[in-house]
Amino acid sequence: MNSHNKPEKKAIHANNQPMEVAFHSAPGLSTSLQAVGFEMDVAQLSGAGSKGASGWVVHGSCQCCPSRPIKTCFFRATDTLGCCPSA
Amino acid sequence: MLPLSLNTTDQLPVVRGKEIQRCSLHGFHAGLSDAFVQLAAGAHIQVALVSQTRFEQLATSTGDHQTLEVIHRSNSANLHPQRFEELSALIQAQLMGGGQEDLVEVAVLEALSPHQLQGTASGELGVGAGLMKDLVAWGFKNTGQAITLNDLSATIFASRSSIVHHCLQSFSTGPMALLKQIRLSQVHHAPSSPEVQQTIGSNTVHEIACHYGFQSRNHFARDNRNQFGESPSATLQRASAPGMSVQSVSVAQSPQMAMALR
Repeated sequence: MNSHNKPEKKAIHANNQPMEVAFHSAPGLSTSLQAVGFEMDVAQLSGAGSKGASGWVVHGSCQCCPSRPIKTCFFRATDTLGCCPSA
Repeated sequence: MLPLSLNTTDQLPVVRGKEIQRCSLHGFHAGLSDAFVQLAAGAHIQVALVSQTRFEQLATSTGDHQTLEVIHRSNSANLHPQRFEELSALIQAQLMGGGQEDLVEVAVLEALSPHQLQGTASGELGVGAGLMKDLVAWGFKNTGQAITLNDLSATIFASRSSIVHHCLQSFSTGPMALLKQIRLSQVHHAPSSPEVQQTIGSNTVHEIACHYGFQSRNHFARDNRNQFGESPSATLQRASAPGMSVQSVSVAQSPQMAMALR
């Protein structure tokens, strides 16, 4: 699987701050989603090299985390690899 | 937690096999715990995670029992445009570090009120989407092996023609190519992840590629270049270069956004 960043996960659980990330790889998005409680596998769809990703497929589950603060938290991730969809 | 995902861009991600609508909210079905989403290149993902308990308490205290039924029966909702804009602005304020989170919960409650809603979807997977979800799940669980279409057909209990048809329709690529892309993603990630290298007991690109079912150096080099636009050695170099990694970084950018989980 492509997600292994536990420290980042702990950080957002502890701070519960809005989280904003840029991702340019499948593991990058997977790690970001893991940080807010989603155990997701992500694959980049036919990248065609320098043209960037043509898309991403995300599959997984919402992790129930009893230690998570009940405060609402906010998350945004932006694909920086495929920022030019027409490319 | 109730994940609430907004789509505010012209891009229309595919959630559980269905292209989502503008001015819509997704991923909140209290009874669904799995996700299957396709994002277009350049996607923006924006999610508000609201405590389900708090939300239910709020709905109960305000007598919005029908709204509770919405989140228990539906996974997507087409909102009134004005309600959608209000909710989007509140979430944006939160992401910029201001605003009151309680207002988001109240806005969601109002937006999901049956008399405000313009349509809902249950999130139930269609036949094709269910098959593709199984295919993708199999791909992620079995990254160490290549498989033939015949064996795949027997493994996920679907005909070869059905797998090919739905895969082309969903991903514009065949099932074998899709599974290979999943394995290539794993190989691509491994050089920058000591944990993965330790888990699989490999630390050279060739060993890692072999672990993920790429036995031929030449074929792997070609596939890797086609997928990521670089040679395997360039991947390794980039992974080991100081300051370069696949980890996410913070950005400050006005949100356009969109998403869908579950």
